[in-house]
Amino acid sequence: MKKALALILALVMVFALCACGTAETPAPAETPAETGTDAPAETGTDAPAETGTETPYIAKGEGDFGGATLVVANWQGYCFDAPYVMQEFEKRFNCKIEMVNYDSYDDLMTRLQTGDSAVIDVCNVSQNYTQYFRDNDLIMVVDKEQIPNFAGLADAYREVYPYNVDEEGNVFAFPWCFGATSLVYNPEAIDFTPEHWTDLLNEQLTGKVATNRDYGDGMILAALLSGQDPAFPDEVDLAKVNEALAKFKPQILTFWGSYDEIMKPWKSGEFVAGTMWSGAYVQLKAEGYPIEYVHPTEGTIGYIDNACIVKGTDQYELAIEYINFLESYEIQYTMATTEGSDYNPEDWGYMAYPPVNAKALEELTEEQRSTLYLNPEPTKLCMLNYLSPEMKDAWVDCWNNFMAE
Amino acid sequence: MKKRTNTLQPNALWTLPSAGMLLCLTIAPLVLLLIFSFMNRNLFAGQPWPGWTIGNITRIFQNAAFWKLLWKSLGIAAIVTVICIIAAYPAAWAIAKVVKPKNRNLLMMVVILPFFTSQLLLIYSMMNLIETGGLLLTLLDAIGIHNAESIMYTNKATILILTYEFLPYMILCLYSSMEGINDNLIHASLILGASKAKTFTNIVFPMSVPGLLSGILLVFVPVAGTFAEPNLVGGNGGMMVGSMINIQYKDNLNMGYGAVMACILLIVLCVIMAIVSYAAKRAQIHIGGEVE
Repeated sequence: MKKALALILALVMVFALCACGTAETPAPAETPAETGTDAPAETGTDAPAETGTETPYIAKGEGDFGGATLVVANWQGYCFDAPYVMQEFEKRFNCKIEMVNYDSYDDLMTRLQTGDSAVIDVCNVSQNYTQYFRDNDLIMVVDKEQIPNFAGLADAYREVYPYNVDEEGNVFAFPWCFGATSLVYNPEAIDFTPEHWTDLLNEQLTGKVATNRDYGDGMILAALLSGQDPAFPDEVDLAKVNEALAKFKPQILTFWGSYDEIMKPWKSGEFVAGTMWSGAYVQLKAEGYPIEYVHPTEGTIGYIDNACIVKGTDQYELAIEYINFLESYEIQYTMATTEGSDYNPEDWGYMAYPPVNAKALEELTEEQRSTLYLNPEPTKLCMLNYLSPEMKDAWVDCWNNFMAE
Repeated sequence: MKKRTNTLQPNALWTLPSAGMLLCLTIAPLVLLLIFSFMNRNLFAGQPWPGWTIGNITRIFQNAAFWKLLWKSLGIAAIVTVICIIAAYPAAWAIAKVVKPKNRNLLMMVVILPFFTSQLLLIYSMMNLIETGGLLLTLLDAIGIHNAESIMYTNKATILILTYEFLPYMILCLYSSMEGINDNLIHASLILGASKAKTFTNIVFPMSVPGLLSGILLVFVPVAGTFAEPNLVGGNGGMMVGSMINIQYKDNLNMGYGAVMACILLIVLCVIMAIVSYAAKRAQIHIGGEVE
């Protein structure tokens, strides 16, 4: 009896371990191109050729998808799950959106690599990861003609090499919002007006500055502090960066990596200047805290978030409609202002996002632009470029050395 | 006479489930960690092996920041462990020997109550307590101490919060040892003229060493590798080695290099625990004599 019980327990353990993890990974969904139909379109995209036709699917802005499910991956609470996006899209296209949240791009990449690509159809990827995802064959190149609203994006954000287009002009990532991590200060806590990044080295700010823990933003800031242009990482002299960081170290109170880590010290008055996500600035301003946002002339740390179609999706047409929907003037304007939607902004814990649609940007009032830290607009957006593995190691080590001091 | 058939010893079969779990969930991941230390950057499921390299090993020995953080992390872990030991001994003794048995369960519940909630909530609750304008400073201000400064964003805050999180482990481990100390031994010691301090050092301490070692293991090791607390409250100089390992996995996408860091931390912790265990047992024997 005892022997039998021990054997049963051992077998249960073995079977339980075998059943761990995701379900058996299905073979990547075969695109029609792989099933013997026409080869992918000649425009250099991965678009599945439509059986029996030569015209790729073009987003129509409306349609009936018979209750199909579109799986979308994004940060939790970052616009895609707002009712004016999610519920409105479901209503217009008779479909269901299933949100999948990730807590890092490594998490997303792992999901796509381990078979979630058979489930996830669209994902949000920041500009510094889009090329990495593309190089690892995780996202599709799409003919921009299939997404009519792409043409309506502002020039500054539409085709930004190498973040969302390659050298031949093929688009693999579709911008839907941008943001900045710029210089903030509490005008009631200091008696000067910071205008340049080097103003953070002012002795009044010793021990009162907070900045992003992320090495990407950190090294862009460090390059700007040392008077170098981070847009050309190959040309950034790390020795000068280290010198600038050594002067910056005594100014630091803490490093932040989440909204709460920004809010707490700011509201308690310990953090009076530094860098801040634009969304956090908008929230603090709305809550009545004394705070000003500055776009230094040397450049503002920025990012562009992109919607990408995952390779192997079996909801390609619905994914095309989704991206077209995100980039539409209507959604972009609501995203920036809360107006123009049937959904009550108070119900979704309203947060504003700077639009990339040209018309939406033009129609913003001065007050709305100020709320979105677009008054004035940043003169120069410094975005983290794609770094080679060796350069990434060097930048990470440099930033870690700074934080470890 | 019934002939005994040749069968497997039942004892061996009984170890199958636990041995299997140990192999699959402990030893195998550690072996994989060691293998990944020689891997070139990252490995993704379904992708070919990215290649072997010893670059991670050569690089780690040139990384001064890593070694600095390692020793700092071990130092903080030692401080937290010592504080936990000092605080846990009287608490465990009180629960095991002083309070009435009917109240013992209630006190144990109080000790393990923090386990009922998430670690992050514990951290945030302590942050609310110690931050500028928080409850603690407000109370100090109310009783006339007006110029007290918050310890938030300092290593002191990290140590305080880690102590708060891990003290229950030490109490439980010491309690389990102390509960087994025969009360007659204590009475005999006191009756024969030994002071309370002598009774503690010669009887209670040697007999609590197994629990003490378990407690040290459960406190020192996780504290040395933690990164959430130093990130949230450690401030400018709060970074610990766990943060550096986390960055390699999460931001740098260099699992191979992160694995080397983790392996070195593991080896150092094993050596330290072996030394502590040896020292404690020697002390146990030297002070209290051989324990059967």
